[in-house]
Amino acid sequence: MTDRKDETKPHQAPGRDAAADPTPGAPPASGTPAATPPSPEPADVAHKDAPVAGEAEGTGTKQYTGAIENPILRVDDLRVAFDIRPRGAWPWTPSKKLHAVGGVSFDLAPGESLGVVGESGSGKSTLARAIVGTIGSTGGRIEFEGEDLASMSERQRRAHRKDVQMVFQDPLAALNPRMTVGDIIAEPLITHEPKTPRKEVRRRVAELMERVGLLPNLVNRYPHEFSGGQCQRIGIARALILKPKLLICDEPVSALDVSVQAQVVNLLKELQRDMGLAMIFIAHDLSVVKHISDRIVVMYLGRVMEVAPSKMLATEPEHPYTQALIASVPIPDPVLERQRQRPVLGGELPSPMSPPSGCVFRTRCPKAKPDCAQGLPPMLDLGGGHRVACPYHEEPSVLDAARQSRRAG
Amino acid sequence: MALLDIEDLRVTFTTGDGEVNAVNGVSFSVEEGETLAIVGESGSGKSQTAFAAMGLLARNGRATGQIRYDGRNLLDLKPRELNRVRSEEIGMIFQDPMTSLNPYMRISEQMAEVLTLHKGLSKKQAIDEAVQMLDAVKIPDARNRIGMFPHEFSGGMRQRIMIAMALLCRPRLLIADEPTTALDVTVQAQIMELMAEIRQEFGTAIILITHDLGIVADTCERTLVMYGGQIMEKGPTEELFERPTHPYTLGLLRAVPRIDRDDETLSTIAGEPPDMTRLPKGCPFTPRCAWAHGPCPTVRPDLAAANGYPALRRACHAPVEEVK
Amino acid sequence: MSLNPDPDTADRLLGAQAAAEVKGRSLWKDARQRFMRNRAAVAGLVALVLICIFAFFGGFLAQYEPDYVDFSLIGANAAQGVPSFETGHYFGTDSSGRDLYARTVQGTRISLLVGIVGAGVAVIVGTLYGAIAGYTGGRTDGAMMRTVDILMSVPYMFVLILMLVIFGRSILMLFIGIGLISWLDMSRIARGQTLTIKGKEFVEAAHATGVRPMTIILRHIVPNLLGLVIVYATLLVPQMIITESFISFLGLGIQEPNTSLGALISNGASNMQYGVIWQLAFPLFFFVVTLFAFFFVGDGLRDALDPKDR
Repeated sequence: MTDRKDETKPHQAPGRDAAADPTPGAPPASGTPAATPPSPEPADVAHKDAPVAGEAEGTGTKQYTGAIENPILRVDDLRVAFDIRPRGAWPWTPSKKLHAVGGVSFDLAPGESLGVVGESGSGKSTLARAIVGTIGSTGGRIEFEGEDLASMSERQRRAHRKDVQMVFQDPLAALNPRMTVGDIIAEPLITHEPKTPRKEVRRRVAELMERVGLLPNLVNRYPHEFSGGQCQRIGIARALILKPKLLICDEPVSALDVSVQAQVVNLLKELQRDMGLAMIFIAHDLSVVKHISDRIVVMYLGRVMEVAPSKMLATEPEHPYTQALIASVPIPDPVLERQRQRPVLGGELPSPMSPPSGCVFRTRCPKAKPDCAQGLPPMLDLGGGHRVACPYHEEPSVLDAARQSRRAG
Repeated sequence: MALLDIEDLRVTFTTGDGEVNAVNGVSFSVEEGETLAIVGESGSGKSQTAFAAMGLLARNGRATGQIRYDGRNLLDLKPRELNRVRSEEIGMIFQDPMTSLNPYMRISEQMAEVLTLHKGLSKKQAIDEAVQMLDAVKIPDARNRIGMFPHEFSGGMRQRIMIAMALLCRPRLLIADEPTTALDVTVQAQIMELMAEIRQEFGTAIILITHDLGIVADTCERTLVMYGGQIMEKGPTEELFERPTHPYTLGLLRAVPRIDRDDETLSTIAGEPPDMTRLPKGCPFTPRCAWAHGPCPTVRPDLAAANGYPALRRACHAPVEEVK
Repeated sequence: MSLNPDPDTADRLLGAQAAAEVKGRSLWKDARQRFMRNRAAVAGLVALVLICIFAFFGGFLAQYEPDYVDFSLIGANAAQGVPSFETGHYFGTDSSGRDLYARTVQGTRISLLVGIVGAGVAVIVGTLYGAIAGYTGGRTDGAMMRTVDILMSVPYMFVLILMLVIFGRSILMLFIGIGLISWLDMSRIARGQTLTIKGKEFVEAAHATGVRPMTIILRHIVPNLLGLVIVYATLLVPQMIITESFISFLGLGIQEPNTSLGALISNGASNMQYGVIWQLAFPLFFFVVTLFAFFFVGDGLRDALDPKDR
């Protein structure tokens, strides 16, 4: 368990310091005037908010320090492992462990929107499912409003499920094909408030359908009669009918067409702001995540590589993986795109069954050094809510190298 | 003469719900060694256009029009002749490599089979050639790994194998249907770089079918935007991205969130993708178009030169100056 | 410049949709339409309905009770028991001088009952058992499915025959015996399908919302199993009829004076050489038509309910 200590310490310590600081991170949603935060405390703090870090210049982006006072969700050293049985093994042979999420920690303020980016195998979807509670965690804490969800029994936890809702990736698969849209949207309501009169249920369903941009008279239709974008709106309506405090979106737009994607992203952003929702937005597409999130967590092979306010992450990424990720995102502008030098990341994702020792990214890292293989890299706090798990982040970045070669060329 | 010349291609499917016109009179050509992108969303008919060109339509589909490859109309060829053209001169890459790799055959057998059959090589020569090709697509340690089965490779590696197989007979045209959609961005960047290298090395013309405007911007010389089975706009990629003259292209480009920009809200195209069983008689984009007016729902606009933008061809009734 | 259509356009678009009817087209309705387009299946369904009418109301047309023995005909069957409208023996008489028409009506009814009860038990028990095992997973699943494996490995025909010999031959015993084994296959099919459905996101969504496991099984899993289950059940009915006929053919099934198609065929077959071919022909005709009808309907249902599998 030594590795665990190594990893949790560095980013918990600054967290505590920052919490003692008289000027904590700005509350979420305070940047937008139309927003009405759900709880009064963040709004109060907003007035005495002093600039925490000099980099604060964007209007839409907010500043965050390492820790947040009164987080709605605090994930602490969360671990999820799956038992993998080799094919044809004897029943008594011990199964292997696949560590899908290996010690992830972060805080989420009420009304904040947190993006989680990573490629396949990064454990981002597993993280979402552990928080929602459809997959059990094998270690760490998931504190939702101060109560640890991870240690609860299934029965205890059921009562808390109404506050945390989820939007899924495949819009059609997330809806029961044999149920009408009205029944689908109403399901959470009749599950948690079974005594609600039918009329009231119908009224709330209609109200919500209108809110997410569906015609309420389509309430008796079936999911297969809708297009992908409309199905996703139904999924969003279902997630919001109980007025949850936290919404987790797992790749909500990656199955949609570009033109519809923008509609759904805008809708989510608007709903999040208007309802004062805290949101975790998971996607592989960094440009979408950046657009919708206040802060971004970058994951690779089950671990956090970097955390930063979204604008900062996009413009000044410190971790070599984040830098490579940003460089790989194509920009729909031929002129810009042809000027861009791309440090294409070599190699492939290592098997999560036997992840590399030390820093999990070292096998593909252009900056890898021999001691990267020794022990986990500490989570360094760079201020302004920017934390990075790479001790060599100050060396010339991959992007700088690319920029220089472009200038030369 | 163009390598591939498609004229007034129409693809119709007979389904339980009636006739579906997936492709409605599409014409374009591909020059030797050129890279052409066909961009569109689901239901735009972009993939069906390629499938029709390859004679790979589903059984209930029917293609009419002209698909002239090297002067011959592929739609008139007998299945045997078409098979020969398909395997020796046109390569195809699919979104999911597993659909075209046989899971029960070793990579070596699958690749050698193509070569022994079409090029008459001996088994040993064929394997050597296959290893060379795998080296060319940068599969590390190809000689030792060629005996493995498809499922033993990762998604990115499988896509590389697919590309290697498509290139085995040195085709003059490579059709790539969403080749990177199932891949991670870092792997996507690797594959796109590989495709660019292959084009330089082998001089292969490439048709890249995708929904991702980003990868089009990077790799393709010309772009063709499709919607509802019709071409909305086409032209050199740079001009098209610089000044889209069709409302759909314009909307599409603005709807993509960009990593290099900060927009508070994204522009959207209202409405839903077209219902292919109930297309308007005129321009299929009419129900979602902000510039829709008089003739739009009933008169189909011709693909004509845009006023002031000589390189572009657009199919729209609204004047160029207003669409911006 | 916004790309959204101006309010007028939007209103027009919405208006067009709002005017449309609001009733949904459920998957069941879709399936019914596909089924109705399948001629063989519809013919099968019509045949089945006719056979049911025959089995349940045909008795009113009979001139004789099924257990009425016409002693004058015994021994002179081949000459006087010939099917004829004049004597009122539409299908002739059997070797004991009973009216074959009334007997066939009764036999068809009992055969149908056996098939439907057997399939019904299979549908209810098998589906629930399989769905619960599949959804719960883990050790419970293992234990439940191993039980099924063990039951399946018992040679059921042998057990069934033993049961009928020990507890006596009765319709009830036959129902119990057939019901006991019919659900095993169904539970396996239901479990397999449950595992697929369980992986779908809508089940996960229900779980994440806090819907109780049993409600998930009944609301989300079972309705999505039903398509497959119905198809399998329609194919199971003839199988049950065949099983019963086989047992009756062996002389162990239905006890006199009751009868089933199997028993009638058995009698008819044993008297074939005496020139009373109708004793075999009529029951056999109904037997074959029933089986074909069920198979056609089952096939049609399969095509209608999972169109993707074609």
